[in-house]
Amino acid sequence: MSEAEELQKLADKEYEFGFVTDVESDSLPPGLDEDTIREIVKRKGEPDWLLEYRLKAFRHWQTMEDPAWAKVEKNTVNYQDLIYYSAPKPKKQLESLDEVDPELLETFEKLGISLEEQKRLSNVAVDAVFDSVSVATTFSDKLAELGIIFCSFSEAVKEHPELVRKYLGSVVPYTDNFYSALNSAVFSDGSFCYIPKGVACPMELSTYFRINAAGTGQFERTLIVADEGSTVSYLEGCTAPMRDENQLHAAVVELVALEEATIKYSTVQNWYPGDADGVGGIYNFVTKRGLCKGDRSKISWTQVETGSAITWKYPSCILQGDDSIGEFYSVALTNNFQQADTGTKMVHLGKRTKSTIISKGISAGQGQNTYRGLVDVKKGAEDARNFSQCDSMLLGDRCGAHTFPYVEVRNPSAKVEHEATTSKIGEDQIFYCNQRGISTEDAVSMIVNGFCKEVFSELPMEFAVEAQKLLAVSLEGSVG
Amino acid sequence: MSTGTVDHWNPNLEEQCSGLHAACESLEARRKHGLNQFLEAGFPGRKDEEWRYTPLRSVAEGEYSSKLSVEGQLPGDDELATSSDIRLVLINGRFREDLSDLTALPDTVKVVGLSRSLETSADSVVTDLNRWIPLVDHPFQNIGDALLEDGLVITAEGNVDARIHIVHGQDGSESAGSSHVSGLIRLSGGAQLEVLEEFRSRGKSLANIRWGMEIGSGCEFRRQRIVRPGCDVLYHGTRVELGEKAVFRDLIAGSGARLVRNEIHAILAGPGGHVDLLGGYVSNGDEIVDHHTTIEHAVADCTSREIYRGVLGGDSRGAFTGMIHVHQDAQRTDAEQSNDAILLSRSAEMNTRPRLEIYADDVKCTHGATVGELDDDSIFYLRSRGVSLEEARRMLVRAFTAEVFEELENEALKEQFIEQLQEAMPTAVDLRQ
Repeated sequence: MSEAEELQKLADKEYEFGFVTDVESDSLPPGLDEDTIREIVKRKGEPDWLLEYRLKAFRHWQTMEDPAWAKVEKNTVNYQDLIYYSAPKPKKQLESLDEVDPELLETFEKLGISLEEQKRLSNVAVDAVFDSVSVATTFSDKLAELGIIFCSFSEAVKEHPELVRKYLGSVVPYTDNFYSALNSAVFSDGSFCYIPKGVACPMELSTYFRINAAGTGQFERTLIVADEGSTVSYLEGCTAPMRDENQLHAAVVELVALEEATIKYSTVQNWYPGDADGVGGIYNFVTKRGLCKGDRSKISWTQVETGSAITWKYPSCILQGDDSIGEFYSVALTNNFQQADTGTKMVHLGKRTKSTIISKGISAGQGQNTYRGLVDVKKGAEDARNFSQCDSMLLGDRCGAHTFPYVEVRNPSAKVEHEATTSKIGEDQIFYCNQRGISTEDAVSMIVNGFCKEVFSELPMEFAVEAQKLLAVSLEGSVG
Repeated sequence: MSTGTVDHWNPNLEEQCSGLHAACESLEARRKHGLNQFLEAGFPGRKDEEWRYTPLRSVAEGEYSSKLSVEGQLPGDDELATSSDIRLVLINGRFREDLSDLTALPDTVKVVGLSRSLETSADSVVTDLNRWIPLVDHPFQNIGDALLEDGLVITAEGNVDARIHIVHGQDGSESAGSSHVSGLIRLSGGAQLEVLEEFRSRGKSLANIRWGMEIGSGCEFRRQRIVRPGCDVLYHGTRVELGEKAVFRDLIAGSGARLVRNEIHAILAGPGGHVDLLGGYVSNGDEIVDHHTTIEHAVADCTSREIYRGVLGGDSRGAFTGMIHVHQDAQRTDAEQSNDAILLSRSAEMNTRPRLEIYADDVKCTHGATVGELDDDSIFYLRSRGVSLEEARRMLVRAFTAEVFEELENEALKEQFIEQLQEAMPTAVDLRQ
């Protein structure tokens, strides 16, 4: 097959995970007002304090404007056309996986995340969020023995209201930004995790997200609290089926690390990016922030962003405790008409705080990839240290790679370094590979994987493999 | 985003604008446009991304809203070692032929005061202004447009290699006020021109200076700017367009000014062009130094290099915003940018935003930014060899800033630049031990 034909074949390849599961869903009509929120609260049986919180957030949200500063072009989202609550109809209380809707299980199998398999073969507990309500949680018993709480957000509200109330909105207040306010008002479900003092969580915790019911915006809420001296690694992975209209995903993730606690949060994001003409695709506007509250605590974000029509997220660390550490490792890939405006904020408050930022942006097709980051060293952050590195790679001459770092230093003992480079794959590199019988497509994939190695090495094993595959799939058809 | 303190500015500006002689309709239109833009927008607040790190409250308060008197004296008398016989003097924004010396000016270089050329050929001058300093909504540019009156028009053509010394004198000793200078520099036919621009000031004054430049194919324009101690507020804007194989080399150095905002917008519009932007400064007290640059690589095969280095003491604040914009057709671009700062005091502050916007794939773009204090190991090394702490700090600061001036050919001038920065160094007493 000639190279052109091969490329054509690859370029024509449709989104592999584009299927829709036909599950009866119990949804509210589209639209958002205070009654919608009351209805969500009623259906979920939530307490009054949460209703109050949601209403406050909603009222604040109404005073805010859709932000326009990100370097992305988007259609205006009509927030009144969205459905704010959609849950698979509960048939009865589920005790085991056998009781889960078989069609649903099939969907997970197509995604290669069979709960059965996972439960038996791997040491991963899965809190599967299907649309907005968790339908199955595995391994919770095992975790419960150690005192670890890992459950859906709704369950946490019922079972552990004191913890939720204490930490909800403590890192990302509803006033933070437009999308976090919206999320605080209408969040439907998500994950909650609490690691007690001195416990090292023995397994990787993970959640798989899927957007399913048509026209449903997803408003996940994740809250992870690591108590003194505890350790946890959390994985989040996403795939979403094909849709023509733009779907909004406005999640909020809050992490709290107390003294000497460590949280590692890894994401592989592969929401539907839209077709080759830029039609459809997910708008991924997420607020993720971690608070290193205690001394010597550590929060590490790792993300691989290959999906979504527009990605707009800045996983951040507030380094409040002395000697706390923040890390951000990111690979963002944009192909076709995808746009990404992503990066991080490292706010140094405590003494001897350290942060590392490694960002790798890859642009192909007509994709636009922007790194936007802030390193903010406040007055009291004695001997703070930051190292940032932002590398961009351009594949093709129609795409764009942009870097907008902000460095603000208010303490002379700080050491802050920022580096950025932009490059492309050299013809000599491709030639070298071709000579040794490696196809151009594979060569590109290899080189790109090498370019991202520093980030992939931060991912847990099974995720690293998945991420590499994803990158190769996402790059298909981009070589010219 | 108006700060609400423009009340002093608005009536003053309206009055001054309407008092100007309207030589032609297009000039009148440009002034009206600037005035209306300013009346509408005023001064930006800190929520404006472009002015995030440079508060203009003190400027907006209105002390500066009157024009400085025509009868001003040139402040300071310590002359720079310029090696240039051609000297242009502007005082309070007026080109003073009586104080200038044009005798050595070659025939191929023409220097005319802007107000004079507006008298003789208003239409064509305004057309040139509109072409090389296009209208933008910008507080200082708006005021500059509203009060467009004087400045310089310099043209150099053909085989020429000349050096010109321009002195901007600000005399606000009797009453505070502002001056507004618009300048045009056009080089063609392979001309080479070097300009030393010097800023001297006394009393409270705002110097609002902007240049529009055309550097034609094969031409080279070198500029050194020195901000002498005692300057108050200086806005300096440059828009420069380069033709094929044209070169623009710029250097700015200074200390002791209360607020300096240096804006450069360089457009590489012909293949093979090169832009060099260098800057070095030492700041103290509550000074603010803000370098704001945009380099546009519009066509292929151009190169650019940018190095800014600052040493900040006292409560001073430094800001750097450097955009490198590589257009889609600008293949084989090679752009380098670096911004380094040393903080010498606990309350000094540095904000840096190096930015890359890239739309072409075969490019080499790098930027680097560092902020830190003087290296303890280096100080220890020097001290262990019997150098005092203060002297060690001076040596390190000197080495740090001197790099910017390395390529300056005029050794005597180079030494003066470095010396001025050395003198501005905060003494050890002000420093954290």
